Amino acid sequence: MWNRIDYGWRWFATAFSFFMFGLGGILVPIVVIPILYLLPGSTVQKQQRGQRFIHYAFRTFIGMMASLGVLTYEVKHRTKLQDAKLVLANHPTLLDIVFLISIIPNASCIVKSALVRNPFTWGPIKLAGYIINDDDADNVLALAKTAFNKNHALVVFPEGSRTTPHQQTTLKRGAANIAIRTQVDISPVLIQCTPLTLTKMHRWYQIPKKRMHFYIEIKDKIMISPYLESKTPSKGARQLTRDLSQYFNQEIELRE
Amino acid sequence: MKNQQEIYLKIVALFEQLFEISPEDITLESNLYQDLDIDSIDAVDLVIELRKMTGKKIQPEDFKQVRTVADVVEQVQKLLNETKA
Repeated sequence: MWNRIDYGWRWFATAFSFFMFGLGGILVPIVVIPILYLLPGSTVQKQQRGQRFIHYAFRTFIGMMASLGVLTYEVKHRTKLQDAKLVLANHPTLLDIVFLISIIPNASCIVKSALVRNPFTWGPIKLAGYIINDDDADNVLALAKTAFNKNHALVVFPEGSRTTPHQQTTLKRGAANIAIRTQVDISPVLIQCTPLTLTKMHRWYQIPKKRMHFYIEIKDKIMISPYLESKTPSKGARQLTRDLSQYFNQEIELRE
Repeated sequence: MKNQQEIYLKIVALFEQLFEISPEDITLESNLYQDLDIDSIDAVDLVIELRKMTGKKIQPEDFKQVRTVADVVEQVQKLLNETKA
């Protein structure tokens, strides 16, 4: 009996949370973008305020989901993110980016261009000036470099999209290329959600029998310098991608 | 003027040197993106190397049409012919 009440409540609270996320995605730009534009300051400052705003909004959102009993979470070694440049994380669920931005005040990220056409997400993307992956590799690299110069932490999921459950992680080379060609160290983040939910294979309303728990651990930096010694950056990126794949697969296995 | 076979061999060597693709995996029909696992950043590197090889600038629009190794050979030959003209 208690189980059914718990399940029903979490189902309702999950639906409510998604509703709030969508509502926020639509209302926030309408209200906040004009205010941010009207406040004095340079474009960079406005973007920074937008970024902060999304950070606090996502923090509030996660806090809301936690207090509604949809999820619990723990963040380990948060301080290691203080001077992070390129943040690379595995990508099991839909909420990963929300968690990461909620713990990184200066977070920027690279988003797929489909999200710009999505009415629920284009506002926040515009607001914070996130980088849009328009398949113009040169352009994305240049924007990443600019972001690092502005002291943004750039969040990238090297898998490109959410992990297919129960499969080895395979990485695209984009993340490694950014690290090598902009010469920044990597801050790896491990994300684990138990029971696994909100994956590629789940619909949002297929909630787990037990309340989901997010474990987020910030690992020690991976230094880029050894990879810069490769003959060509394209070779360095291949080696780094292989090493990162192995790293993430190993770390995920250790947790399971 | 260089013949197609020479250009092909040069490209195969370039692919090995740039992208660690072993020559026996490459044929004229190989699709760069599907068979040889070349991504958009690699394509940028490749265009730069081809420019060094031919001394001619490849138009990005032209390179967008390129799908297979044979297409690359054709592009390079086109550029080299332009030099002559």
